[in-house]
Amino acid sequence: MTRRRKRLWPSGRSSDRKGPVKLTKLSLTVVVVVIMAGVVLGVQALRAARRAAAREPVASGRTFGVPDARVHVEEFTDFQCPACAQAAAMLHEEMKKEGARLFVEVKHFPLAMHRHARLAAMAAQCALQQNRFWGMQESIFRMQAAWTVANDPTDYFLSLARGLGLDDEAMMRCLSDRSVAAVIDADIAEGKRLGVSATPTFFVNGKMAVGGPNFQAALREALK
Amino acid sequence: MLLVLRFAIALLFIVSGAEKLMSPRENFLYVLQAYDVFPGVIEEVSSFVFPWIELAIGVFLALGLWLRLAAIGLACMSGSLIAVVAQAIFRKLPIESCGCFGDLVHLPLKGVIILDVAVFASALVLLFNIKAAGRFSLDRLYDKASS
Repeated sequence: MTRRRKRLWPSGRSSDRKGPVKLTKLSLTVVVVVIMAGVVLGVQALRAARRAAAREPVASGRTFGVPDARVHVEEFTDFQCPACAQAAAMLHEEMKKEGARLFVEVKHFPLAMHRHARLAAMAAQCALQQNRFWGMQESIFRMQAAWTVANDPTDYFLSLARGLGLDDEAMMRCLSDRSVAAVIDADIAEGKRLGVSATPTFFVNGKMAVGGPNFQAALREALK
Repeated sequence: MLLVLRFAIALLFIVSGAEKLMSPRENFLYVLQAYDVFPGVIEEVSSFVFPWIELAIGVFLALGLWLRLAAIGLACMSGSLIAVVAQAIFRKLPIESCGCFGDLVHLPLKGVIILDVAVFASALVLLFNIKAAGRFSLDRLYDKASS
């Protein structure tokens, strides 16, 4: 008894079968692409919804302007990143120029690849406790090239603090304060929830812009 | 060995493409802008399209569907990346991390060019041994069905 094997298609010659095979292969390709796109777009939508709910208010010492200003700028910065130093200078110019139309919040996002960025963020946060956040931010960025190459930049930050008239001992204590470290961790966690992975990252009225030039374009658009 | 190579590269491209697609597009746009090689419009379009192509190459390599085309795509993509990264190294652009795996892995440019050359060489190996690399592939299933 001969068993007849089931065939995918009835035609006898192999050249006749190539048409249906190709068609099925194309259909499978379409199915693969649709599944791939569906999964990606679905996860993207879920993540976007999670990001929208991720915003947290910032401590008042790290803000500029009034909360009901027309344009809200949220900046995630890393003190060891050269692009952040340029962007901070640009932002300060805009703050001077636009004044009441801007509300700026600064958040810490020290990148793991910058070995002193976290300590620099701590120093700025400690200066905030003595109401000198903006001055310290400017000094840290101005001296970036010097403390970046130091083995231990603590002395640099203390001397910058002294230059701003801050209490030396309070600064020393603060630099190892866990509650200050927790503030930085909370900023990093918020940044990650918002999808921040590079610095400087800005949110201009909620719209993400990474890097100084993109920030400037987004700001010009928002101020129109 | 060829099979391991095929699946390893497929995994690399799936992870890399998916990571870029899952994080906000602005992050990858910033990466492209840092290489300073394309005009603004191309950077914008590439920031949309490139991660999808990367993911598709990975998925098609893993499934073994249109394997030859996927290997050609792989060679073209890794070849272009070598050129883009090489010009950045040559021009000493201040790029600290390649941005090729989103936030997952940070590789310096010299590290990434070695990786890209390895991927390009692997793509050529796959292309010249497409039959052997096509074991456990949908292409092979279709070939059997049609012969």
